[in-house]
Amino acid sequence: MKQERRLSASSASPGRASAELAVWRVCNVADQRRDAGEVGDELALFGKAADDACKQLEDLASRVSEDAAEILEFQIELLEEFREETCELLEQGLGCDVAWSRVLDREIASYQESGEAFLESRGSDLIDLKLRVLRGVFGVEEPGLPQGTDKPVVIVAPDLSPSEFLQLDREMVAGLALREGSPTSHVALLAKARGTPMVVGLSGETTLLEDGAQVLLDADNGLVIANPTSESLSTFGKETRALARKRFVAEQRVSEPAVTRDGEAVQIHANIDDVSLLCEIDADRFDGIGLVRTEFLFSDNHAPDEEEQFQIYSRLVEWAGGKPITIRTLDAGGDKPIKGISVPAEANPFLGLRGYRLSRTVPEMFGEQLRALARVAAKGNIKVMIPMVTEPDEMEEFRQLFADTVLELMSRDIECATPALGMMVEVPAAALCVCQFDADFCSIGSNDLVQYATAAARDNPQVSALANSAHPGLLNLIRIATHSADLVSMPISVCGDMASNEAGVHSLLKVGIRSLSVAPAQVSLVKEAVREWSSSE
Amino acid sequence: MEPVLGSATLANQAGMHARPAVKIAKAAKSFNAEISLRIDENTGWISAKSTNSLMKLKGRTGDVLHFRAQGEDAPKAISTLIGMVEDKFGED
Repeated sequence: MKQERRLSASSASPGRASAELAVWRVCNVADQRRDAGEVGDELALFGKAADDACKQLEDLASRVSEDAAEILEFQIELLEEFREETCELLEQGLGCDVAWSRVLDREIASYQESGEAFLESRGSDLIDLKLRVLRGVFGVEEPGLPQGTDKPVVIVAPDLSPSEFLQLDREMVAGLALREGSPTSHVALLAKARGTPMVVGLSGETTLLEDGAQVLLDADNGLVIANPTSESLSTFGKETRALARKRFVAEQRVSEPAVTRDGEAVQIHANIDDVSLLCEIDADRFDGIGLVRTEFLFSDNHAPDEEEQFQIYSRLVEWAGGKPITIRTLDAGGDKPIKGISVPAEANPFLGLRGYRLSRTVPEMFGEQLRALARVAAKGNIKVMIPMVTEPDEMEEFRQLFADTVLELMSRDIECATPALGMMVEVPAAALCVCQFDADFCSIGSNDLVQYATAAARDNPQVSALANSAHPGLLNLIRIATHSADLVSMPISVCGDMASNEAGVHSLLKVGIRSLSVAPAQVSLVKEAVREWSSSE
Repeated sequence: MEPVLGSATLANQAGMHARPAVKIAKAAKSFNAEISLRIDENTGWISAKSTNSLMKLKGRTGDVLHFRAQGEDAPKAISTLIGMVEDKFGED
């Protein structure tokens, strides 16, 4: 009998799972070497590896968006060009791993050291290509889940990228336990949207974790138990069943409105971070979309232009069917740097150039977003808000920017409209005087407001316990913001994790909040929490 | 046979990035003619059939691309490639 191991971690997406463990394959072919065979054998082996790589790329290209396919086509073209040169080296007696790496390493360096952003950013494609062919040479598995995984597993990995997460078959993922990662990462948001339990910062002897081991994942409390004793299994099972019953009852009336015991209706909206998840989410469960985080449209190598953004926002309009959609403009900077536009190094990025502060300094890119938003506002019930607002002047400036955008589009005879314009309340100084801002609505970003009010970062395990959303000072701050907004009849809501857990929901209702935006997978439990609450409590 | 020459200004917003490079190389490869190009008259010619070389040309918006082609189908090749550049590769 193997010994039970308990490993601690930080919660990134709530939930529990009991399943077999699967170790995420990260293959390090770049450093492997082999002895070269006869020239003819090397040519044959390389030819097959290159052909296979080409087929894989073509296959991938047929399954992704047009933009992504063009990048893959670029890789295919380069594969053909570098192939000839590699074969010349093979004729001289080099092994195919050495020859291919020599050619590719030289090219990767010349891209990365070119001093041209567009070439540097393509360096990662060359690295991809190099590894793909090397995997063929060494006959190793593609990185990812072990081949033949046919039942849900808890994945143990160093970290996952959003695209790796989205490519996973969701039926096969019982949970995620990452050694690195952050609770505020894009993957954490995607896991929350899907209701996949996830922990990050898994510490302890993770190297002893093996494929197929029984594992219990308690993502609510940041605990991973490998090879559990029968006693641990039975306790975990009981707790899980109790929670499952609660969720089952909640799911029965998930599409009914959320009304408190006093008969007050509370609006429940969805946080949408990735339109690729829309097809998995039922619009009937929500009063609308309370937060669209648009920074996740921008990946390291890709900034969507006006048209692409317009198409994406249009999909939201279609999904919502007339219900309101609140889109937040790009919130880059802080913990979400975007290559090419974020400031490279600041002593205090969270107190620096981020959110609207950053967007206004990149007028070309911001203009693309504002035009797309003005165009989609003519098609649906759109509201637009800016993040990280500190001074009333910023809101005025934004109104002017939007008015200029609408005028420009009108002068070109392009259909557009001015949506309701609002602001995020994350900065404590702004929370204390919400009524002084010329905003049509506001939304409290609880994740950031908690961090700024407690001066503690959520992704720093040393202090994350201090970033406590139940702190009475924080609740007072939200109470003041709510009163201030009420003074000028400005609708106020809360988005962020605080609105997605039971205790947080009760605290928010108590300080006067009547509109919440939550992770889609949490909606049934949040509505139940509202129904249990009364103002006399 | 005399080489056929032609030139066009790179006018698409992004300049010579991956997408146009792939387009030019693919189109160039569809001709038998030897096709090369350069930006500055003092630099060497590069093959228009190589995506990699096209990328490293670091062509920016406003740069003039000089093409040179030699072979049976050289005139057709030059007019096709010039057309693609002038059409901004279907971008913008």
